[in-house]
Amino acid sequence: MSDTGGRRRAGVTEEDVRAIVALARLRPGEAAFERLTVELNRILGHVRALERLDLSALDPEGGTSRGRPSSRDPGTRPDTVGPAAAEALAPDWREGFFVLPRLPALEATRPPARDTG
Amino acid sequence: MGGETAFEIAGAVGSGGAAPDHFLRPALRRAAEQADLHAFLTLDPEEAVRSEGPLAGVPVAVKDNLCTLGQTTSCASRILEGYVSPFEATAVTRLRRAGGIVLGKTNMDEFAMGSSTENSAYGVTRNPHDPSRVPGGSSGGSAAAVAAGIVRCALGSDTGGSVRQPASFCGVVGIKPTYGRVSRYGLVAFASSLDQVGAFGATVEEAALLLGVIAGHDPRDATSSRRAVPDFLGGIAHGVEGLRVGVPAEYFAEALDPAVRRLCEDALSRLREAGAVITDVSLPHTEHAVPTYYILAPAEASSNLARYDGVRYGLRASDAASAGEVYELSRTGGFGAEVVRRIILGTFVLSAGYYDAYYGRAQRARARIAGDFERVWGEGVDVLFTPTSPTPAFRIGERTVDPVSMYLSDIYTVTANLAGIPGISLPIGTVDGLPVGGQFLARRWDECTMLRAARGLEALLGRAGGPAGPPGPPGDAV
Repeated sequence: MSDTGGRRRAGVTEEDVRAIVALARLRPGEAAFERLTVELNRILGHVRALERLDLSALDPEGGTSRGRPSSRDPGTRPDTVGPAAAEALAPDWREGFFVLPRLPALEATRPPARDTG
Repeated sequence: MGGETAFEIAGAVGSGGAAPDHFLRPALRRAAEQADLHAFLTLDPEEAVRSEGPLAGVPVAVKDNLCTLGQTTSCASRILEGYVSPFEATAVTRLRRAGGIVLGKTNMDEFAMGSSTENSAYGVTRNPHDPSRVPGGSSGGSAAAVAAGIVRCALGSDTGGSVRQPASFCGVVGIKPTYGRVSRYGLVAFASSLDQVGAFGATVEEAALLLGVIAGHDPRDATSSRRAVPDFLGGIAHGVEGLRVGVPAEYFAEALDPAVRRLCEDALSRLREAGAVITDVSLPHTEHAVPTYYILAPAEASSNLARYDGVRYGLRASDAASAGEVYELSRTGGFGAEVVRRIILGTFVLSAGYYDAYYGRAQRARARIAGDFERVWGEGVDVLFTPTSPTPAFRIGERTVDPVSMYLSDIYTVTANLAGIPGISLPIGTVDGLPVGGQFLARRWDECTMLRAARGLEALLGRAGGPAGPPGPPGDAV
């Protein structure tokens, strides 16, 4: 994928497809990558027709969103950054696990605490 | 269906003249006789049947992406093979409460991604009018079941035309309601900002009947509207006199088959003769609709389908050596080629560095497309009339090699989903024995005017190109 002056254009390589496939949690056979690269370029070539459309008068999300969502580096995932970073991302973390809030509906069925005394 | 309409069946059952399951066995027999069409993935009618309600005793086919209690919901995907939902779609629950009987679950393109029902993991559905051709998609099984005369009504879903295009190919009526009119609770998500549950019928009135049953607010779906549901059948027979019908020039461009164009022009002539006012209008951003749709829908799909990881649903790879391998091998083994293609496309357009160039741009284009419709409504147009699809049904295998040629099948239908407006396809004639559909589009929440126009045209045309199936002589429902 080439980057031309800040706006990247289609022209997806097989290497790019491998990176996307990994992000999508897929593992097609080796023979599939060449075909997927051709297909993705064909589809992107069609959708790039949108580049002809003058959208300068519209806000960045077309008024359909409250703002641009945050993004992260594709290589940084909660399962690849290690426990310390995962803990930093967690709202509540105990003994290596996320702590989940209990559902109110389940509170009524919660077994009584055992008397360990 | 033994000649009985859904109204006649409900009338007979409701009055006590027929048992609630009286019309079920003949429907099952017709489905078995036409098993080669492969309209159904499962035929598993229920249990207790109500003898009251507007659909009392009416067998209804349900697309296999609507969750049903006690029946599998596979979305025609290997990854959900054998999955039985612990909850039921609100549309299905309402159908049952109205007395309808779920006859079975119908075939579809996997996760509703396709325009031909060739992408099902369980085999293609055939068009009842010509078994060498597709029934359209993605709700091809539901459309074929109505066209074959197995049922009078069916449920489908419409994300980019998946009710209207198969209705056109099969010569039946298909409604895509306003976004928010029908609850999506229990509809397996494909592209959440575009998905709507839709209704098929052998006639406009039967499709409207089903829509009236499933419409209305549902606290389980935050996108369902609190607006009161009008009586869709109330003014449906008021005719077309005085209606202002807009004809968008962009829908009659070069891509349109000349024979389909002639049928549309004939339909417009009939409407004009009956007192409708025909007006030329322009929707200038129409050419950008397919590119916009094929960025936004895969983007949403890539997110929605991330939940299928081999842990919580269906297929799970047995030879995985790690958690990561469970995800990757299960997804790769469970998803078909078109679903993989769209997940990759969606992941790409959402990825860092490409988001603004593709997804952000498509969002803004969507606003332009919706703005085109708003401007036309502001000019006093009541409904728009267009072809539903550029061509009649194409041959099985004809467009599977080139995904873009398949995507262009949706060129006249995706705009309604992008704008959130209602649309209906009804038969307007045949070309070489193949049905052709015409489409009415209307303002958001104005299904009543749209149904009035469609019912009026249906009456003027005398149900040209209607259901192909051999319903049998009246009264064979025994």
